[in-house]
Amino acid sequence: MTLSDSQKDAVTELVNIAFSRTAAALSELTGNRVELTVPEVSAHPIGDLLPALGKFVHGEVATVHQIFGGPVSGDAFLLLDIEGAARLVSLLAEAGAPTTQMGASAREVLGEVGNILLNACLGVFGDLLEVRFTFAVPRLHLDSLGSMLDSLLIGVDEIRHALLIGARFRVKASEVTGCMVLVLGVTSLDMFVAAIEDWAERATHS
Amino acid sequence: MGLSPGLFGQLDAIGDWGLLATDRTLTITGWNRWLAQRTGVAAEDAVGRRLFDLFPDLVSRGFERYFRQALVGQTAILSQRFHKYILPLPSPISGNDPERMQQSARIVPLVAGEHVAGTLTILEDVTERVFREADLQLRNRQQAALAYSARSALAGNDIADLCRKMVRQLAETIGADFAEALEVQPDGVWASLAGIGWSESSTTVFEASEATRTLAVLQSEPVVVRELHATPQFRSDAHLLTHGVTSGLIVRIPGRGAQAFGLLGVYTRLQRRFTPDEFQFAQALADIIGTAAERKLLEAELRVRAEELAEADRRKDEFLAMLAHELRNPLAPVRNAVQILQATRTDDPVVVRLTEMLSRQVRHMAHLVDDLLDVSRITRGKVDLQKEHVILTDVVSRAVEIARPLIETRRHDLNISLPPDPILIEADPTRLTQILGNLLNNAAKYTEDGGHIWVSAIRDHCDVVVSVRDSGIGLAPEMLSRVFDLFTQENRTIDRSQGGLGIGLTLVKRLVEMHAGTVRATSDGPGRGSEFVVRLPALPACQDVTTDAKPSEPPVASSRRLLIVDDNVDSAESMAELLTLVGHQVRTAHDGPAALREAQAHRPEFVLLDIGLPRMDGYEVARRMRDNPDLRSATLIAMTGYGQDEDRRKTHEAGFGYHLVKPLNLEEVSRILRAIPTRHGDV
Repeated sequence: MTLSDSQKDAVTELVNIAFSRTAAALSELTGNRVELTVPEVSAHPIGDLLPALGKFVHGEVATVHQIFGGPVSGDAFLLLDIEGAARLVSLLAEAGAPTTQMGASAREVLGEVGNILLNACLGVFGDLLEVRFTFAVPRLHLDSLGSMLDSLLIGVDEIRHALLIGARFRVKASEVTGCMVLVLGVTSLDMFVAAIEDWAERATHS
Repeated sequence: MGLSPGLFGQLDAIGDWGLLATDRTLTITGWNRWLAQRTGVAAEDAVGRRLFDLFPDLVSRGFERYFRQALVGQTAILSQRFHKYILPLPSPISGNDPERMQQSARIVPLVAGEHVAGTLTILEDVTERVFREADLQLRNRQQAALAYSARSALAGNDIADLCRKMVRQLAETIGADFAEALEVQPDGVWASLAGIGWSESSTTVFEASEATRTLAVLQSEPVVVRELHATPQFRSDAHLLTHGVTSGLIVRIPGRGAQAFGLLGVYTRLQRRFTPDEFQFAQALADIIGTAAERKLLEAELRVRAEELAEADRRKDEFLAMLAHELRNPLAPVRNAVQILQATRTDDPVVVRLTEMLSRQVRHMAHLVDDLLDVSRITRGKVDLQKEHVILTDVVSRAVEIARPLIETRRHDLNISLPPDPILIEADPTRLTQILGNLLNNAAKYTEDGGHIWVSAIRDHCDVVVSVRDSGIGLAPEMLSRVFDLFTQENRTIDRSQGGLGIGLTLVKRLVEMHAGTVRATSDGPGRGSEFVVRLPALPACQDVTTDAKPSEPPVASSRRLLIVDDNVDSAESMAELLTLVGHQVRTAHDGPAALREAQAHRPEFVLLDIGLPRMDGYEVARRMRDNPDLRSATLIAMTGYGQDEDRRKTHEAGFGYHLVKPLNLEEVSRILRAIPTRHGDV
C-alpha cells in the first residue's frame, strides 16, 4: 500500500506533535536543547521494508521494540545503526568519546530514549484513534537489520504493513538520523489510515 | 492489588532487585526484602503507606509523572545516566564519591483485566557498574592522553611546548584545578616550563627554599598531599597556599643519571584522593617529558660531535692536499735530473743501473704523490671527469700495459677474456684506465710470484661488468667491507717491497662511483685469491664504434728561444738543462722583475712561467708582458701545482696560452713547442 501526499502530510504533522513532546522530555532530562524532526514518511509491505530502511540505517542496528495492543495492535520500533546509537547516547548523556561498544549504561539510555519516543507517538495515535493502547515493556536489541526484520515475520499469518517514519535528532549542532517503524496488520492499518483521513479532514475545515 | 503475593514472592526470588508495588492511589502494596535491608524500613512499616509520604523527594525531583504515566498504561524506563538514582539509598561501596547508591528502574503498569490496577517499580543497584565504567573511561582518557603525549614527544617538539601539552592533558584527565611542570636549573633554581590554572601574576622562577614542593623530587615515589595544611613539608609553600591548593600529586621528571630534570605536579582546591592509576598516569607523563628532554640533549651533543668530525675531516683533506702539493715541488727537479741522466750517453754499467733505479723510484714516488693528490681532490669534489665515448677493450689494453712491468717481474700468468663485439662506455679514458690499472697492479702486488690473474668483461643488459681476479693472498671476511676505506691495507705478512699508502682502492671506488658505477670485492678467504668486479653503465650496442680521433703528431720542432721562470732554482735549472739537451736555447730567471728584464733583453718565443713567484706572482708577470708591445707575442705557458677549471680560467684570463701542472713532463712541453710555428722575425 502507499500513502497519498495528504496522508503523508497528516502523519507527519501528528508525529511532529509526538516528537515535540519527546524533544521536550529529552531536553529536560539532559539539560541540552534537543530537536527532533520528521524528514520522511512512507508505507511499505513488510517484505519491501528492508530497502526502504536502507535510507536511514545500515549494518548492525540498535532497536527499541515495543509491542502494543488494543483495538489496533502491532509493533513499534525505534531503529538506529550502532554508530548513530552510540553517538546519540554520547550527545545526550555526555558519555565522553563515543564508541560503538554499547555498554550497559548506554543501552539503558537508549532504552529510555526509545521508550519516551514510542510512548509519545503511540499516545498521539491513541488519541487520534480514540483508543487506549496497552503497552508491553519496551526491549532493546542489537542485531543485524535482516535478523530484526525476519523476527517480524516469524509466526505471523496475516499480511503486515509498515509505516516508516524518519527521525532526525539534533543535539549540540550534531545530527543523528534513525527511523520509527509501526508494523500493523491490514485491518489495523485500514483503521489507522481512516482515522488519519478524518483527522486531516477535521483539521482542514477547523 | 494486581500482583498476587505469590507472584510478588517469585519475582523477589529470581532477581537481586528492589520491588515496590502500589495500587492506583500509589499506596504501597508490596515491599521486598531488598528494599527493607537498604532503607531500614520493614515491609510491615512500608505497606499501606503512600509512596510519596515515605519518599517525598520523588515529587520534588519530578518522578511523580513516571508513576502517573504507568497508571495510564505506559512503562517508564529510568536510566542511571539521566536520573542517577530514584530512591535515596546509601552507596554499597563505602568511602566513595558519590555516596548514594546509583540506580536504574522500570515502572510498569500492573494490569487487571482491561484496567490498570497499580504500579510495580523494579529497582536495580548499578553502583559498581557506574564505577567500573567511570574507571574504564578514565583509563581510556589516560591512554589517549599518553598516546597523544608520546606522539608529541616523538615529533621532536620544543620541551616547553611539550610540557604545555602535558600539563593540560594531566589536569583535564585527572580533573584538577592546577597543574605544572618545573625544571631545575644547574644553579639549583627552579623554573616553570608550563602551568595551567595559576594566576597570570604567578612567579615562574623559584628558589627551592621558597617552593618546598620541589623537595618531592628527592623521592622516587610520587608524593601525595591529601591536605596541604596538615603536611609540614608543604604547608609553607607560598605558591600553593596563595592559590588555595588543598590536595596534590607530585612526581619527579627523571633526568640524566641520578639527577632530576624537574617535577610534574597536579593540584586541587578541594580535598581529594588520587588513585593508583592516577599516580601511574602522572608518572608516565613525567617519564615521557624526561625521555624527550634527554633526547634533545643527545641530539645537541650529536650535532656538536658531527660538526667537530666534519671539521677534522676537512682539516685532514686540506692537509693531504697541501702535503701532496708540497711533495710535488722537490720531485720536479729530481725527475728532470733523472731524464737528463738518461739522455746523457755513458757506457758505465753502474751509472746505467743506478739511473734506471733512480728512474723507477722517482716514478713510483710520483705515482704515490699523484694518488695522494687525486684522492684528496676527489674527496673535496675537485675532480671533473672528461667523458667521451671509449671502447672498453682499448681501456683494458692500456691498463694492462700500465701493470705489465709488475706482472712480468712477478712472473704472473695473465689471462684476458673480452667480448668479440666492442663495448662502448661513456667515461673519462684516463680515469677508467687508472681504475683498471690500479686493480691489475693490486692483483699483481698481492699474489705470490708465479700466480694467475684473470681479466674479463661482459655486457650485462645495460651495464658492462669487468672482473679482475687473482690467485693471491685473498681477503679476510672482515676486510671485505673495509678494503675500499682510505689508508686501509691487508695486514698479512707478505713481501711488502711494493709498499703503498692504501689509497689505490679508495681511488678506484670513488672514480667508479663518479662514473655512476659500483665496485665490490669478494674472496673465499685468506690465501684463496680475490676478485674485484666493476659494473658501469654501457652505451647501447647499436652506438657507432667511433671514438675521438687523436690528432696527428706535429713535425719535429726546430730550436726555440725559451725563458724558464721559477723561484725553485733547481727546478728551473734542471728543466733548462733538459730543454737545452734537446736543442733549444734556454734562459732562466727566478723572480718576476728578473723575468721581465730577461724577456726584454732576449725576446723569448716561449716563457714557462711559475705562478707561485714571490713578490710579483706569475699572473702579474704575464699581465706586464701582455702590456709590453715588445713581449706581447711570446707564448706564455703557466707552470703550477693546481689544475682545476678555476685555476685554468685564471691563467687564461691573465694571458697564458697553456696551463701545465707540475711536475712538467718533457714530452708535454715538447708538444707545445712543436704546436706553435716559428714566427717571422723570431729567428
